[in-house]
Amino acid sequence: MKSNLSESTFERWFYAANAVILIVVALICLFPFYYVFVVSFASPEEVRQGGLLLFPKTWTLDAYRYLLSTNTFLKATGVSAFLAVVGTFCSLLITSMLSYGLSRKRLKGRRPMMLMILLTTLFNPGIIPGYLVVRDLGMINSIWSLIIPVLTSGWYVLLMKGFFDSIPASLEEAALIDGSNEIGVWLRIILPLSLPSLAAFGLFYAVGYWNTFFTAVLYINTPDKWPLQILLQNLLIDSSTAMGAVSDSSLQDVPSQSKKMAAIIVSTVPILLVYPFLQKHFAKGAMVGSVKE
Amino acid sequence: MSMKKKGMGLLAAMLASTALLSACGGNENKTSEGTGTPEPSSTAQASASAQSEQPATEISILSIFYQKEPPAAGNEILKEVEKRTNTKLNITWVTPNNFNEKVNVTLASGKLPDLTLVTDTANAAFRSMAKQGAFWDLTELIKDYPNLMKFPDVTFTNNLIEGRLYGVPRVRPTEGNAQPLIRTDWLEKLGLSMPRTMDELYAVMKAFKDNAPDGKENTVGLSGYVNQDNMGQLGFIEDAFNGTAGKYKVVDGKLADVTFEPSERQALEWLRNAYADKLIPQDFALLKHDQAKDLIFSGKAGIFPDKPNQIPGMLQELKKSGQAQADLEWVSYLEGPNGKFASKGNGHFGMFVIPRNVPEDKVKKLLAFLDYGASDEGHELASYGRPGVEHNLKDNSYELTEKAKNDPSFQFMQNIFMKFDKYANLGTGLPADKLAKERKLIDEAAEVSVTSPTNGLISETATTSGSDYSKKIQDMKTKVIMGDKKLEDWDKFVEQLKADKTYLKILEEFDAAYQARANAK
Repeated sequence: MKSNLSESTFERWFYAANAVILIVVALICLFPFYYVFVVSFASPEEVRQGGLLLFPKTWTLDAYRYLLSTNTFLKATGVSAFLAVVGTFCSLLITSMLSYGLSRKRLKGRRPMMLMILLTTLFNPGIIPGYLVVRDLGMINSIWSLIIPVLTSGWYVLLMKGFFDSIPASLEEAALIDGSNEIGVWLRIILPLSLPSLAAFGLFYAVGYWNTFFTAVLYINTPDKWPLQILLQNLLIDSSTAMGAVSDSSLQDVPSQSKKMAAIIVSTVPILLVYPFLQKHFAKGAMVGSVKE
Repeated sequence: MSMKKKGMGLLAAMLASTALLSACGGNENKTSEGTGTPEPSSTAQASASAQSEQPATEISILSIFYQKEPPAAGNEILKEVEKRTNTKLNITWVTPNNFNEKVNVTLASGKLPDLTLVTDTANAAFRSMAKQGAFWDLTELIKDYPNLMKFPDVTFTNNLIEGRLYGVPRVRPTEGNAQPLIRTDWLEKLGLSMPRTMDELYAVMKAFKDNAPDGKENTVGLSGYVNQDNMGQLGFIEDAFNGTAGKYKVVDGKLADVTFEPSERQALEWLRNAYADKLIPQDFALLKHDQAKDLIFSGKAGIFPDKPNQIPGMLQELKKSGQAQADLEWVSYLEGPNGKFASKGNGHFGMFVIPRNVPEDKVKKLLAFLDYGASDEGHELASYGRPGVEHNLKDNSYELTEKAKNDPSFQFMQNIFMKFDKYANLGTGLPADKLAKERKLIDEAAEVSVTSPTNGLISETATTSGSDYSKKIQDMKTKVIMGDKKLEDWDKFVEQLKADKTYLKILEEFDAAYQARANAK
């Protein structure tokens, strides 16, 4: 009786300590986000003085006003949103079709195709060959140059194929006997069954497209087609340090910390908001292909 | 079955087209290699204004930009530039952070804009392209353009590739580099005068630290930081001791590596003492540029090495944080064991190259276009906009209008239109008396300034392994300054370097290139 009680007190203490430690760790993880958030609303002077830690003395929307003072930022957000929505749709379409095909044993030449896809996961084209291909396809300075070259990823194809492998072939045969054609089977039977994996890969793709940066630097020439990340980098990185000793930073107008942080908020929050909605599928989807019957 | 066929067909097509494309790329490179160097003919310069009868010349440009935003299509100043130069401009603006990658792919693609800015002129691929004749040789052609010829000699010399000029340099002022900016109101408060020698500078730093004129705790004398592979903002201390800008100096007509010089050891000793006396930030190895500057703004440091053009902005910032009486002054030169020293810039930041496939007539128009940019009129338009719209003249100085101040891409044309102005490294909007004083400082610096002798020179070994050495050396320097290593450790380290054949090869190669250039003159 007594030992039981002491054990439960011990347990209670243990759980309490656990909770406290985990809450502290969680707060440490959250703090940078919170700091970015408050700095974006504080006045630049206050940040400079180093007085700001938890709560700014004055809340101001100046930094956001500055960002939205020209429509460049909105336009870039539009480009990034277009990439995230249209790109993700196209990518999921191609990836799911390709990996479904590969997962069916009756497809001949499966192994050589798989090998080729595997090769793409191991080797990347260099910057210049990639640029030449895009240029010769006439896609320089087209928004599609940010989607088509990265339409699908060999790695995701292999993962998704693993998921499709777990769907029994008899299901498909039954649908075919009932009069469905191949496309119908894929669209009506296979895709609805693989929603979790679609959600997971959709999220991966969406984040990837939202973060489009380097390809845009190379392929896009006019500022009105720039995605958000280019603007963001321009604001955040002080080119005087980025370029080493040689620079003419004197020409540059360095934005204040508040403006930088506001830019970070504007460019991360939209994609952060996608996570909660896909969380349910995401947890399932991440396990995709891990267990095979 | 059908799926398999389709799949294989697609793959085959993709492979075939990739092979085809790479073949195309190769061919194009070859054709550009095949063309010889142009025969420059010296016809009279076609002035831009005389061409107004002719149809506008279409010019495509790849340029860097430092403004908040690149100009939108139909920007009024851009239109004015087009009108005055009778051109139709198609400019690709690239942010500084990704400029080199963008230039590299553009160079590799073989389809260059008419004017392509190359900032990394030491790039091996770029230099071999130039040698193979991918760009117009402008050595003779440029002589017909008076405004471009106003650029100082050093600007041209530093851009030569094997004695030839393959582009129009993007000129930058040579005087007015990162040297101490000192809080003169602090000096006055403590009854000190402007330091002229390294010992005086040390004394001023110590006085600042001990007396903390703004009454802030943890006041240090001088704020600065080091980078991973060089002395960063503390570099001028090293340079003042060594009497040269950067890593090499000329001794009796030959290059010498300052790492081996006793003056470098003295510089380290000076910094080591300053660190021990808490005259420089104790976290100098970790500070970023902005953080180091913030120490000035919060009144915790009285000296920050930077260009004089930073003064107005910094004063404004100081005022904002409640120090209206603050004043800063640039130190024109400092005296070290090797005499008076001021740093001299390399006179350029990249150059505009013209691809060889542009016809000669157009090359002349392109040069005329840039020549206009280097004229007083072109410079005024690029820097201050149009009179009455973007600026008003007041007592011989430009006063920007609200319209100009609120334009996020204002002064964008400065990235392309560059005039040589000796005093361009001074801040704008200075009152007349202060301006006169600062101009005198620049003149003072010009008398003693020394430029890095290896500017525009190439060492293959430095390109491949130089940065590893720089990091290693800087790591040692930082440790010596922070007291983690003794000065004797530095001596040992130098001995090791002296025995390192690869490291010595860098100096040999630079010296060979230096001698070649000196003899060519």
